[in-house]
Amino acid sequence: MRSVGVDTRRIVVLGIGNALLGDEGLGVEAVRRLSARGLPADVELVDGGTSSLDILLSLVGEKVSRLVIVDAVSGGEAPGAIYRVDLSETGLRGEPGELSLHDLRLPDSLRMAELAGLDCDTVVLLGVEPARLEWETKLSPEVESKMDRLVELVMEEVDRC
Amino acid sequence: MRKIVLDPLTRVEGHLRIEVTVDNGEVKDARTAGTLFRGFEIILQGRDPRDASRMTQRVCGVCPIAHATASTLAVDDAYGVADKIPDNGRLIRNLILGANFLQSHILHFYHLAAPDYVDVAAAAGYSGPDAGLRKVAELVAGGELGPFIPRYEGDYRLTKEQNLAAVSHYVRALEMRRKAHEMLTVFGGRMPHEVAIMVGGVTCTPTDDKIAAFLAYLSDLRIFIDDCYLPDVLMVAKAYSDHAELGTGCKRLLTYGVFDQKPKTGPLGEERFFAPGLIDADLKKSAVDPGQITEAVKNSWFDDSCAGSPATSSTKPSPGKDGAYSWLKAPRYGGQPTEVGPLARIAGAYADGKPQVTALVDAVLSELGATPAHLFSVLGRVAARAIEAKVVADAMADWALAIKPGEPTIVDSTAPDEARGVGMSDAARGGVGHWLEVKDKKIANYQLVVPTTWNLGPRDENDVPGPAEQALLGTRVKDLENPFELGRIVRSFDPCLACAVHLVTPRGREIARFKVV
Repeated sequence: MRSVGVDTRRIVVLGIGNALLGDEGLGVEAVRRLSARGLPADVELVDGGTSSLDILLSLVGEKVSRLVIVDAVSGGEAPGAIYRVDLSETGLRGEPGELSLHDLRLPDSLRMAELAGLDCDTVVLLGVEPARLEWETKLSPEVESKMDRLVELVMEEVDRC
Repeated sequence: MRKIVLDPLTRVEGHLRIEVTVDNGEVKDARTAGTLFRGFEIILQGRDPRDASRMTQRVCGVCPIAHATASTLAVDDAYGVADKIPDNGRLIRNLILGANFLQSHILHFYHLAAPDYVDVAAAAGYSGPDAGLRKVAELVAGGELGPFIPRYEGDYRLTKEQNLAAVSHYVRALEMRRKAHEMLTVFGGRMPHEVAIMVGGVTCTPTDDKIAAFLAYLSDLRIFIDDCYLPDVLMVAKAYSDHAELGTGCKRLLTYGVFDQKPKTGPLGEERFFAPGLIDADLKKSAVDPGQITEAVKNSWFDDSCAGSPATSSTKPSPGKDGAYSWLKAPRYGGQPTEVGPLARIAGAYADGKPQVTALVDAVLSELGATPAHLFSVLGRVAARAIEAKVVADAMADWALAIKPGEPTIVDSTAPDEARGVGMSDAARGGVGHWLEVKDKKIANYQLVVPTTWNLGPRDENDVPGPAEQALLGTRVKDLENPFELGRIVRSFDPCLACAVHLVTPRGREIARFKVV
C-alpha cells in the first residue's frame, strides 16, 4: 500500500469503495486480490477506501501514464455486469440532482483533482454492477463470480500500457 | 402548503433525506431521515477488539481518524491502560487527529459550503496569471460545473473580485488538503486509513526528521488558514450577515472534549485542549455526565428494545415500523436534543475564557456587529470551524515540539476475558462515542453514537424534533424552486453524507454501452 510521495510511478490501479458494505467494496477487494499476484514494479496498487478525492489528490505532482479506477458502478445492467469506460475519451458526468448537497462523486472528484494538477494520460474505469449493498464484509455470489474476470481485465489494462 | 424534498444522494440509495413542509413561505414541518441502515456494528461481533479501530475507520471517508481514536480509547479502557498511555503516544495521537481536523474543516468550507456563497461563474473568461482560475474558467466555458452543483442562482452577493479570490483559494485548498493528508502520514503511516493508533499508544517511532517534516507541512497549512481561510470566512460572513439569524437550532450544545493534554483517567479525559461541556442558550457551561446520554427509537426503524443507554443497547433493525421515518436513532442528552460540532467546542472554550478562542470570537463578532447569541446560526457554525482550524493548527506546533524521540510511544496490554470500555472524543463534526463489551477476549457488543446522528437524528419518544430539524423550522423560504436557505442550514451542520455509499452512477443508458463480457 502506498505511503505518499516516495515512489516513481507509471501505472496506478485505484480501488474505491466501502469494504464494510458488501458489493460497495468490490474495488477495494479487487486491489487486495491483485496484491497477492506478482505485478510489475512500476504498477502501484492503491486501496482508496471511500476517499476518492483525497487519493486522487495524492497523485498530483507525479506524471501517471495510466490510471485504472475499480469501483462499483450502477449502469442499469444485471448484477455482476462488468463495465469499462475510458474516461479520458468519453468523460463521465454524474446526473446533477438539482437539490443535491454537493455530494462528491467520483466524476466530481476527478474534476477537482484535475484542477489541482492531476496529470494522467489515460483514465479507465472498470466497474461491476452490484447486487447487494448491505453491512457485510463479503461480496454477493453474483459479484464474487465475476471477480476473477475483473482482476484479469485490470491486468489487461496494465499490459496495454 | 408545499413539500420540498432535499435528497442529497442521487445514487441507488440515498443516505440522508430532508423533507420540509412550507406554508406561506415558512417552514412548518421538517424531517431529517437517514435512509441507509447504519447497523454495521453487527459485523464487529466476535472479532478481536483491536480490529474495531481498523474497521470503524472504513465507515467514513472524511472522519476515519476520529473513529480510530474513539475506538482505541474504548479498547484502552477495556484493557485497563487508558491512564498509562505514554506522553509520546498521547501527543502523536493528537497530531494525527489534528491533521484530520484541518483537512475536514478546509474541505467543508471551500469544497462543500463555499459553492453556496461564491459564484464560480465569475471565473468565466479569466485569462490572468492564476493557473487554478484559468482551469476553472475552462470548466465553466465547457459547461462542466459538476463539483460546483447545485448553484443557488439568485443569491450570490460577493463582488467579482471577491468571487475570483475565493475561487482561486478553492483550488489552493485542494493542495492544502493534500498537504494535510501527507502530514498525517508522517506519523499515521498511510491515508485515508491510518495504521499507527493502537491500544496503549501509537506504533510509529518519532524521530527529529519526522517531527521536522510534520512541522514543515503544518507551517504551510497555518499560513493558508491565516491568509485565506479566516479572511474568506469573514468576507462571506459580512456579505451574508443576515445568516447570523438563520438556522438557530436547539441552542443546546455538547462536546466530549478532544485532544488529551494529560494521561486520561475517565471517559472524558483528565484535561483536554477543548474541555468537555454542555453549553446552554446563555453560553453557560456545565459538566458532562456520560450517563445522561440515551438514544430514542420511536421514530427510527429499530426494535423498541434498542432504546436507552448506548453502553447496553443493541442494533435490531425493524424496517417498516409504524410511524418511523429514519435509520438514525435519536440521541439525547438528559432527554433533550443537543447539537454537537465545532460550534459546541468553540462556544465551550469561549465560556471557559480560553484566551486564543475568546480573542478570535470577539474579533469576528465585532467585525459583523453581532452578539455571542448569534453564534447559534449558520454563520456561527461556519465561523467556528475556521476559528477552530487556526487554534488547533497553532497548538499542533507545540504538541509536535513536545515529542521526545527515543522515549516510549506505547505500553503493552493484554485482552481481558470480560470487560466494558467507553471511548469518547470529538470528531471534526462533533462528539463521537464508541461503547464496547468484551467477552472471551472478543467483541460481544459494539455501539457507536456519531455526530450526524446527534445533529440529523429524528424526533424522540416525545416527538421533539432533532437539532437540524429545529434549525429548519420557522425558516423563511424565498423561492420554493430554489430553497437555498435550507441547503445552507443543513450544510452548516457538516452532515456525513457520502461516506457510506460510494457507487458511481453515471447516466444509465450512456454507461450500459460500455459493458464488457
